[in-house]
Amino acid sequence: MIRRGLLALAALALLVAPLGVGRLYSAYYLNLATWIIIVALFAAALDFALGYGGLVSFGHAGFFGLGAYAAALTLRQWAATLWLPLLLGVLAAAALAGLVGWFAVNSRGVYLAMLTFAFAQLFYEIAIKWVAVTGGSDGLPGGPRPSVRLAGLTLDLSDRRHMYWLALVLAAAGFAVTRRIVVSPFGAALVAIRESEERAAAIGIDVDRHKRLALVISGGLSGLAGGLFAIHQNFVSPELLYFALSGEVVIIAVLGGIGTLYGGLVGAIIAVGLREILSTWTDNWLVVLGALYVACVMWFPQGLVRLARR
Amino acid sequence: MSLEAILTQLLMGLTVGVNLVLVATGLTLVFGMMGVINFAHSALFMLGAYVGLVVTRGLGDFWLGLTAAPVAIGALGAGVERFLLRPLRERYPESHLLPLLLTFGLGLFFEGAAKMLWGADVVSLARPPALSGALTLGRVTFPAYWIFALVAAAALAALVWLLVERTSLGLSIRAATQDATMAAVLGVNVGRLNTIVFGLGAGLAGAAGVILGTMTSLSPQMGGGVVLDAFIAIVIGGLGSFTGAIVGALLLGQVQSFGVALLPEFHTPLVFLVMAVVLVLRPTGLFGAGDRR
Repeated sequence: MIRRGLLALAALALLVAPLGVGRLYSAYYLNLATWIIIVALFAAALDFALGYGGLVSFGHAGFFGLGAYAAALTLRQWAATLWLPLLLGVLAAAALAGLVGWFAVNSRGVYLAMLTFAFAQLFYEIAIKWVAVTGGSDGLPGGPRPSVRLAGLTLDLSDRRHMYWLALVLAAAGFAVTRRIVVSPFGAALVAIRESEERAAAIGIDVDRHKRLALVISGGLSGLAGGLFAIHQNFVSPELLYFALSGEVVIIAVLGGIGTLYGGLVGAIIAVGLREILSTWTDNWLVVLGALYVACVMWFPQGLVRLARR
Repeated sequence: MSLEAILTQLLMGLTVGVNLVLVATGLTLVFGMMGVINFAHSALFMLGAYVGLVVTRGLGDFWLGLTAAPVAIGALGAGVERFLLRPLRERYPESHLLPLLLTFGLGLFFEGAAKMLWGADVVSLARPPALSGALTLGRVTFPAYWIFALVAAAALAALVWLLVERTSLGLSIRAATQDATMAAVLGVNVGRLNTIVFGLGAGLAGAAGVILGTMTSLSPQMGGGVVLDAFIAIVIGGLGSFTGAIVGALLLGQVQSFGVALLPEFHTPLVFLVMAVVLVLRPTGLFGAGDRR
């Protein structure tokens, strides 16, 4: 009961947070919060594949970046819509995940990590080389941010508060859907596959189909996060497809705790927050971040969420 | 393409390919023995180049720099294996993910450290005076340094080949790659061997860093592209296979050299496509063992 109350309070605080902009804090912090929410969604999407399906992906930036590029390109083409870019971002990323899954589904562990890595890196190279469409390494500025009418209200995404609300609501929806899938029979079958493919197959679970579908769901959600990012930043660049981002999102999920979904939020707050703090405080933030990642892997790989629960 | 151009590209590809062998050897041996993809390898390559730079500038002698780099980076690699990777693998023997993440974090740390120590800008390491000229073979002229880079890397690679294929240490390495538990039962100190192999691979990457760094330029991100190529080479050749690494690296050197000349826009996506196709048709690569971890 107390836990419910606290959760409701936290949700309320998150919902009304934008009202404090200009009075309690500057828009910078709201932008940062939006960014954290998007990263948390991305980390949860990865966690779904990694923590529940046991699919070690080292190429999730491919799904995130493709979603971002698809959304940005759609926005440049038809500026007035909001749902179409997000939808196309999700579909493009899910389609890529389907393709990767088709190629990779019977490779395991490190081999799967490499195949996902290779696919993401392929798209990174395409984004750099196909200058006519992607703008090459300079990236692609978005068009004007969309403004849509929704149930009588105007959602104007050039207003940072509206952007925050959109990200919050969609990320929460993403979390809820993932949570629902995890506790469904499909989720239970995934966990069985993670624990032992042989035994799962022996009791009649179609292992390949489950893994493929898990990757598609995870990829689609990553694409949603990517699409949100493209609208939020109004800019996409090949870094969104680069393997460094793939590694970082895995670290963020691990930092929070794999197989928890909301661990991604904890990891995102720490990683994104720390990066912001460090980069204002010193130019050498990469050293600190790297050392922190090493320390996290060495001493509490089960993640902060479980560390706190102990 | 004229004959001269083809010869030039061929030699360029061979030079890059032989150096890729040095980089790929560490990656593939470490994977073969420990099942770990070392994402810090590019950072070790880069640190090697900077050690070469510092020693060369400090002592005024390129050859000292070229010698110091593999020794320093080899020691660093051995330390990483002994004090970070080994405890981690002992604590979580089942995890594929954690060692990978450890090396990823280390890579970021090293890159950050290089930025802190030497700045983010591109710098160049001067070629030794003896190698600054050009060599003319028939109708084709090459920079003398290319020939040196080719010969030096080939000599090092040959030494490693002798070590792996012809010494008792190499026999232990090959045995542990096939089955570490069985090798340990037969009296091989696998723990120490892991440290040696990781250090050896790191040292080779450090040497390649100096050789290739002098050929092009140095920056904290310089390792990314080269190690990615080495990585693709060992995937094509078969992870864990030393022969596969050599074949894959030499092949990739040529693909890169001619690819840049003939298909400047699309050669890299093409390389990845080749890799994906190889993985699908033969998931363990051209020379890989049947075991799929």
